[in-house]
Amino acid sequence: MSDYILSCKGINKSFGGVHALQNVDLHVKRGEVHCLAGENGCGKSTIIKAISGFQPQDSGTIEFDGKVYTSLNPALSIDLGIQVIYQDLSVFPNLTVQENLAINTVLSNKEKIYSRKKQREIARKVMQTLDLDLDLDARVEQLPVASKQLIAIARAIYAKAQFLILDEPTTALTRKEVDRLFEIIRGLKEQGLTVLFVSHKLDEMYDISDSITIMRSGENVYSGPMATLTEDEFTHYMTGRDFDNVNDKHAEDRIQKQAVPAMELVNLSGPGFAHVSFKVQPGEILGITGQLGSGRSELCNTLFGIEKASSGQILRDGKAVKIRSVQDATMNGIALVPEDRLTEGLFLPVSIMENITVVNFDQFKKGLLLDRKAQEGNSGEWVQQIHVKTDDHLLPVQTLSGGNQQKVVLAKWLSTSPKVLILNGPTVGVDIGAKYDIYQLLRDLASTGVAVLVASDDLAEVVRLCDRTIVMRGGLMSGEIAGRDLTAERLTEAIM
Amino acid sequence: MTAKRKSGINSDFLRMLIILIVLFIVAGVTRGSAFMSVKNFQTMGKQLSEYGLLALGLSMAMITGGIDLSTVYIANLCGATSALVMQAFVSEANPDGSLTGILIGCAVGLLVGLVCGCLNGILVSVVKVPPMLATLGTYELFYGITIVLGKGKPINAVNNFKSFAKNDVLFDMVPRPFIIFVVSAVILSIVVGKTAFGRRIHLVGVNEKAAAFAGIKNVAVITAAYMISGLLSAMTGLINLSKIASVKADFGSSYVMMTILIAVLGGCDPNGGYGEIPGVATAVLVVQVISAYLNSIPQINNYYRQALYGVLLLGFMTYKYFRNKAKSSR
Amino acid sequence: MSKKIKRLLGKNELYVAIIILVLAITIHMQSGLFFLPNNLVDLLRSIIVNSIYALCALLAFVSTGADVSFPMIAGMSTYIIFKLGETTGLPAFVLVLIALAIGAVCGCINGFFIVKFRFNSLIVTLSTSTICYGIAFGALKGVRIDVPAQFADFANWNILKVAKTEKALGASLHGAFLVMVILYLLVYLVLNHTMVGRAVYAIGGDEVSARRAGFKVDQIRFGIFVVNGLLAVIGGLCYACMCKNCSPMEYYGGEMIVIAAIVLGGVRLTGGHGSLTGCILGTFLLAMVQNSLTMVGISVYYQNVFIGIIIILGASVAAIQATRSMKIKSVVDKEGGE
Repeated sequence: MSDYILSCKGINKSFGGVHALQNVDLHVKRGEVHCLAGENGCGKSTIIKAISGFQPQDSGTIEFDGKVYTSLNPALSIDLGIQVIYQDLSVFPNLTVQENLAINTVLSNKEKIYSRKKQREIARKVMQTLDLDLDLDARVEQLPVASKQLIAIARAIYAKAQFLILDEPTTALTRKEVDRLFEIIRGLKEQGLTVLFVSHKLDEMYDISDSITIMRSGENVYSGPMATLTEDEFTHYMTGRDFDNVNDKHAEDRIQKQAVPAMELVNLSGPGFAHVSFKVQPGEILGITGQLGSGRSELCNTLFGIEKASSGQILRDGKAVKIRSVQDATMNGIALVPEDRLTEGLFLPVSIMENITVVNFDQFKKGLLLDRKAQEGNSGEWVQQIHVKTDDHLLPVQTLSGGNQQKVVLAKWLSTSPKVLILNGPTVGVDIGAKYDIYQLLRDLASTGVAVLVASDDLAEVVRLCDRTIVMRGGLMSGEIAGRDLTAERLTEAIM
Repeated sequence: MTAKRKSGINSDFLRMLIILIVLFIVAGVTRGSAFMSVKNFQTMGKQLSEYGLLALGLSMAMITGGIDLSTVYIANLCGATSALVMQAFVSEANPDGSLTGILIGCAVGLLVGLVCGCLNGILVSVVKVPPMLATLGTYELFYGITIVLGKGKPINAVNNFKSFAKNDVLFDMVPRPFIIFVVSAVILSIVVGKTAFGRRIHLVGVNEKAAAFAGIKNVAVITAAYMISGLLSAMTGLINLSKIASVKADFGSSYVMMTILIAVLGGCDPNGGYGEIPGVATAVLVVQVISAYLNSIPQINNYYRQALYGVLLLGFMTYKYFRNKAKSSR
Repeated sequence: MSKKIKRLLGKNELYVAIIILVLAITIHMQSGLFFLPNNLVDLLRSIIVNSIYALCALLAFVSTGADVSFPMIAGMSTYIIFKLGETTGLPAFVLVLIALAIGAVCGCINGFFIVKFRFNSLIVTLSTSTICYGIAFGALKGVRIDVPAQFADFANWNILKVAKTEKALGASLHGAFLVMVILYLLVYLVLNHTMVGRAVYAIGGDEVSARRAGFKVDQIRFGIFVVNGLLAVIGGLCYACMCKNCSPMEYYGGEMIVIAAIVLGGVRLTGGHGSLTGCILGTFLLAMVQNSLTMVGISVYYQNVFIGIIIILGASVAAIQATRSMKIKSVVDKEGGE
């Protein structure tokens, strides 16, 4: 029995001329937790699809548990014990916990009849694999994400998984839930399972992984033990570039300490948060950080009028204002770059030009009609200013990369000349190059006197970008950290 | 779908225009003077007024990502209320109905259309009832109210109103209803294609959430779209009242299918976000020509037409499917 | 125990049942005519066909989306075999097989366009519906035709008879009621006790997950529409035999009230949710409205108004519930870990 349970050699995959995977090797030792890291578009999903059989590779071999295969299919992979837990969890929201737990087993047994009693038995056994205690008759749609994930994992274990692939499992989990998940993974390791863990969060990788493989542009650029990899090396392999770790803040120059606060919250409460009070000065970059469930997203949405505050005050430039709608917010110079770029921030099939100008349609009016020339002119200017990589701003925005798409969302709101710019998760799914571009953009913006609020759970980002941070936990403000105290360690402490 | 387009002069419009021209040629060649006569054009022009505006209204709803199954019944309801109002102004002095009565009657009819559209819009945008279900409920409601108004029988138009739709305009040749259709189509083309409001309707249809985050007032936009549809239905109701001289509660129920076909032919995507008025208006003409042509073939009775519309719709959507596939794999 | 009660309280069907009961009592108090055996038998008779149609609507909406073609498939097939029966004298069971075959073909057409091209099911079934309409009226002239001799026995088969009394006319429960009961039992067994049946709900709940789990989604969906064709035909035949004639016009537009009924019964247009109990309850409620308004002195002209209002109210309540549960869910998600 070799050391390696999975050995992919020379995997290639192309889509219509674009190389998604180029000569990729991937070796995973039996019984280890192996991290697969890489930016969006690096080929992580493609290689997983090849291993799970959903999308076989064009060439190259996969050796699993000693046997070599030129390609796999879903049924075969499952038979071999390869199970993928996708980010969307593959649960049936409208069915009960019991059904969700048992359905894979029943299907793989090729049973035609469905006996409730039998299913309940299976469901109980499945729950035992992870020592779960869930209400079997509850509808899954009513459960929190963490429970759904546990159902998916338990299901996979019961199906005699030997090799578990977890695709970005911690995106929607709170810190507590992440800890529980890692406990479970360690438990599975002891039972002899191998785990391939896809992630982009460095601190988690150090926490749980034994080895790491980093991919970039379809190639395997690094494979080795996790413990010996430094953060700088990590960034180097992920991006192919070396970045100066010098934090360029020049905070003292741009924060207008003497001015009236651009925005002040007085004991503000709303859906998911309560009694939040803070001030932000013009020129300041204020962070709002906290894990999922801390209320930071709800706070952002309330400041922008998507949700309504239930009590407390919002002050703009010292004057109390009522923000009950998005129109109220924009009229008061507030703009929000939302958390989910794809569903909230952009109209994907619509042109870049229109995505940029959508908030300002009324400005491009010639009489009653829309002046398209003016619209295009304006959009063209912004594309240049923000360095959106595109030849033609009339193309649909979905043709852009994640980073460029985010720049379009930014351009959209910058074109309204906001006085307060709120960004929720501004660099999620954005490649490192664009990330740094955006940071610079925000700093430049702040130096023109705009107050910038950055809500983020990426601690490294908060440290790098923000002058000061408020920390939220369980819907309440649990602290404020500023200046030299603003380090990753202090933040991690404060968040727990 | 590519975002590249110039408002109104888009591929859907051109496609319909080309088909229209081809149809004219075919009809002209096979039917000669019977088809290519002024009389025939006048008949066609009047006939399409029964559903042309409804199709335009439906396409507004479709662009927002919804559907409006109640258009026909809004039309009938508006016709009914107008007729009753006009009848109320009949007196010994004005046995055929007075001008005031007619004007007020028309105003009331149009107002009813707006109110009906508003109800649809609010159900869809505020209460968030799926449009199919909302307009199904309102269609029963409007249908029912019309029945109640007429106590189960058709309602008649006052004599003075009957002549409105029949008189011809412009050198005594073009029927008034057709003019109304063309003018409405032109105005709507500009509104939907070239105004901020028009673009907003499209954006709401593409992604309602993003529209909200971008500051678009979804409720106002969607409700306005359904209200415009209601207004167009009301206009249809008035035209029908004048032409047919009476209103039956279930008149035109077969037009539901036809208007959906026209909207899709004209470029509307049932999922929302796409479609322009010039394409739909031309599709109205196309369907009218097909209809009239089939009419002139005695072997094919009226009912076959319905079947044909179904086949056409499936066929057209299949054609578009393969075309899109070919485009994206290039 | 309390968990079960809590769950019951959350169910739509319970409230519909309560509304039915309240309405029934109200009507009876006003007119004294509701709980008479004649009326009850009449009501049961009136729900037979729509309940069968409701099965079609349920299967379609839960798994995929709208299906509006069942009445016209029913009408056209029945009409065809009645004509055949008259002119050829083929035995009844052959005619029934032919009708089922026609229904299956229509179902295949629906299934093909919906599965292969992923067209919107409302539009595809609307198209098929008009094609059937065209054939029934166009090719076959759509004139009313009496029940052919082969079906006379079935047409005259009553399983229950209530005599005429002072207060009310006599009523009889047609044998088709048994057909309906059998169909419901069959569908119940399949939906709840076979994997194919669970697949219907799984596909409607999350299609991607269903594929990943190994369900043959495309095949099952295609099969659903074929089954709908068969069910529609059975419903249509029952209707024609009950009326002792087939007039295609009477089938036209029949889908609206069925869809309204199942929505009232808890079927969500977004898919994945819906029960047989709900279908029956919803159908019964609407039948009550249609049947009993006159008992309370409301003119029959108001029927559609009432139905429209019920649909609007029912749909609004369902929509508000759905919005509210989404909001609660996101709060639960956020609160989940803390």
